[in-house]
Amino acid sequence: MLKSTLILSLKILGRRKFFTFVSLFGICFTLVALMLVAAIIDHSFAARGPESDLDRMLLAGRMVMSGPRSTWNGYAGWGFLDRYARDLPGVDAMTVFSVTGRISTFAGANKVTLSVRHADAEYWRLFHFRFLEGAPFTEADVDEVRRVAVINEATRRRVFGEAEAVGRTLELGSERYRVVGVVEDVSVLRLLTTGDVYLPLSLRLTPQSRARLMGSYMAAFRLDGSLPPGEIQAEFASRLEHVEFEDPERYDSLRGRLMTRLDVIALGIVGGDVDENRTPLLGVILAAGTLLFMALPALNLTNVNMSRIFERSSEIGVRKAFGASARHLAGQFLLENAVLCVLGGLLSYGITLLVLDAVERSGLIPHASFSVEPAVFLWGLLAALVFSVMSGLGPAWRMSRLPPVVALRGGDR
Amino acid sequence: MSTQTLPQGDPTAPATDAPFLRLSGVSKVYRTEGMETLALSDIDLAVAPGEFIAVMGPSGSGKSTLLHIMGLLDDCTHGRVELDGRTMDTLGDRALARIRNEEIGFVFQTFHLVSDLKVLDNVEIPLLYRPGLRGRRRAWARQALERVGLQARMGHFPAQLSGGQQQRVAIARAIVGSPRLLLADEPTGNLDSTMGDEIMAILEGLNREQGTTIIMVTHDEKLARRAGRIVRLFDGRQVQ
Repeated sequence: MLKSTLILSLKILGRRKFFTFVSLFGICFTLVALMLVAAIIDHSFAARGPESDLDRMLLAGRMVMSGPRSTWNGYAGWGFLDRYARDLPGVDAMTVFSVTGRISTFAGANKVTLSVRHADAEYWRLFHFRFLEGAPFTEADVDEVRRVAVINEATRRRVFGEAEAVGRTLELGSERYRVVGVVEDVSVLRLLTTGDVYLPLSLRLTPQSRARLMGSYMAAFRLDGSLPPGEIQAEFASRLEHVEFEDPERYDSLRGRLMTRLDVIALGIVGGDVDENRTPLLGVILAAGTLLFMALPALNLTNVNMSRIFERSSEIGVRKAFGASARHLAGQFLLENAVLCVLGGLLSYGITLLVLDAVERSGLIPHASFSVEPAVFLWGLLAALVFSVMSGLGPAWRMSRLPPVVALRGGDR
Repeated sequence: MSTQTLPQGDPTAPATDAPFLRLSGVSKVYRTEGMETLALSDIDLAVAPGEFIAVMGPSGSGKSTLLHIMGLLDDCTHGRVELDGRTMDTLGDRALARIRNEEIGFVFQTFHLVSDLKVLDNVEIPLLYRPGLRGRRRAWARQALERVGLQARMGHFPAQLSGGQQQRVAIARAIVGSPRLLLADEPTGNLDSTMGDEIMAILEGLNREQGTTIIMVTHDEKLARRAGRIVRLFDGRQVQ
């Protein structure tokens, strides 16, 4: 019975090309959009590549320093991170690194603008870069303020061509650096690890900047699992209350949070104050957005289904006359919808891969390497299936309940 | 192989006095927005197994309504319908669907073939709702088409056939499940006289050779006379 109904569904979809096209378009549009968003979120925030330990990290970065007359909204300074954020309980390693800045150099006659990040030596232990050449700069390099650099693959190609880069000199502005390592490119959407050039943190620390509470630094803390993140976050918050201010007349409070990966995403997408937990709100917004985004094509599909099923009322009458029960007919229409949805899902998967491949090739997002996780595809498909069934349920049930004689007349009662 | 053979009726089965189909005091009232229309009034009818009955009457006299009630496609407002001794009025959707599937076949004036399906698929429809036929449905459908002489048109869509051929497909669909009762609503109404004769010959053959009980609505006095009994309706009342 199921096999026959399945074959019948495919035959009917094949014969009713316009309806099939309209329905598939609606399903594909929704699913492709959802999978693209999921792929970009996954690409930007999932624990993989250099950030493979992200799931067991807490991050500090965005801070707000305020006082009676001023408010400074920005990133943490070295002074705060070094004096107040070290030796947190439950943390087995910590790294401090800068946000990226832009600097220009010349490759032959061509001006090349590079994104530069300064980091301590721990950075290379917490983030697992793949080295194509050489090695990371060391603690000694940082302590001795040596002019050494790790560059990415794209910079090597742009500045040194196809030749090896380790041991060669890279000129940035008026300074010269010895290349000690070359790492694989990291997507620009990976805010903690993207960069063209990585330099020792000590190169940009002056006596003044070493004391500043605000600056342009972030810190990542790898948890050892001995304490729940909440307790570590509470300890960080209590330390903020004991910060000493150089000029309390100007600034007398510092706010910020140790955030999980999800908190960072939530703050980035939803916005809000740095010490607010925006993750629950992000969850609500994402769920509501997804629901709404899928509900619109589902409603459209309901309409299409309604007209399609009414168009087939004579067939329904015939089937009833020859022994189909209301349950048989409702099942048949729902199966037709489900078949359509699975076809749409498979088609969407293919389209999504093509779109992502095109985005990668276009260079729109430098160094991007997208993928669609099977779980994302399956969840999307499941959601589409649920909506597809919901959109077909009402019309199918309504028509299946019609007395056969009314259905044979075209459902005019 | 015996399992591949379309089941046959039994024309030699002993006739019994018990009617196969009995209508007692059946009335049908259509209610629409405060208006009531009496379509059938107090019909009493007993149909013996293997009978061939023609139902005649002017347009609007209730012929099709009567056929629909006998075929369990519609319910009556008053009265009782019994099939093979069982009262139908209290049965639910699934039970009625099963009886329609196993006991009754329909032939409609406008054929009611499913345009999206090929001829063979159309004929197979009743078998889809009958459990335990896996692997035999196609063979039975082919045999039914052979019986109406359309074995060469199995892969066609209904729109590719003439009116007479479409009606023969409809007959094949009606008989594929070997129903004991065949209800035909003006089966020749949309056909010319030659094609009408062909269809009539098929119905007579089924009645004679298979013992199928046939109730046929018709306007055609000549065709009606070929049936064993004529029931006449006028304004929803049985006048003969």
